[in-house]
Amino acid sequence: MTFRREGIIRRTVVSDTDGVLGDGFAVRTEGLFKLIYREGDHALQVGTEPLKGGAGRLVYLMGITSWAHPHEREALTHEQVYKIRTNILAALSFWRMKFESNWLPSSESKPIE
Amino acid sequence: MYNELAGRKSKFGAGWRGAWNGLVGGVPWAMAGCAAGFGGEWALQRGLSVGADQAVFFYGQGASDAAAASSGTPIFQTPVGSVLNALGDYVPNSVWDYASEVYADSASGNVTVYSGSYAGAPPGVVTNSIFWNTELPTLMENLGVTNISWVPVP
Repeated sequence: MTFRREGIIRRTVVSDTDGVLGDGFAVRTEGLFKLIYREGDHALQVGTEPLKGGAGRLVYLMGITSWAHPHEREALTHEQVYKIRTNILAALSFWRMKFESNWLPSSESKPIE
Repeated sequence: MYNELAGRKSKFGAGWRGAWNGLVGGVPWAMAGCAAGFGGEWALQRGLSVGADQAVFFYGQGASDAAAASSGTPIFQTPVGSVLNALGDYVPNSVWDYASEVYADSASGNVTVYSGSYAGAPPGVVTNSIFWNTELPTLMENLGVTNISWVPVP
């Protein structure tokens, strides 16, 4: 998977970890408690929280259940959720962000596409 | 030999005199530094304080959104907390931990805790939780807190 930084303007914003664009998606952090994932005009947010003692965040990948407004009525398939989770993990690795997650690919079998 | 020792002694004495002079000469600066330090601490406490019954705490999945939507003021909506939150990963966790302690220490009256799930989280996450390890112990020692209301987040 390849990534590139999301625009030079984004890089000047100190409030966010630089947004990254992957293949058809974008991920950025918003403060300490949110991570925003985008695919086209669809977006969703994932909860995070800083961990005590050293660096790192807990990322609640298990909490991904639906798109954010105005697409909240569009159901996310099991395959989509799996893809979103793995895309976010890839972005976290790209950032070299120390994290712990309540979901890992090894915790469930990859869905057949 | 004598000269050498004397020289050393002289140097040693000069060192102490220099230190003393520096100390005396630095008193105004030290006082200014202390004033700035106290001022900074005061500003930090003011910037992380909320009114009675307004403190809102949270932990676990989805809990920060619930806290944000509540009628209270979670730490990331206080003047200082919002700046730290906006700085995101530029803020060391230890700084956020300290700010959380100050926020919990300033709480009064009825405080609300939005409790989300840690389901599926790796072992040890609760051990690393700022809420369980910093905020809650501080709240328990805070005599101004009269009640803690727990609100589960589905």
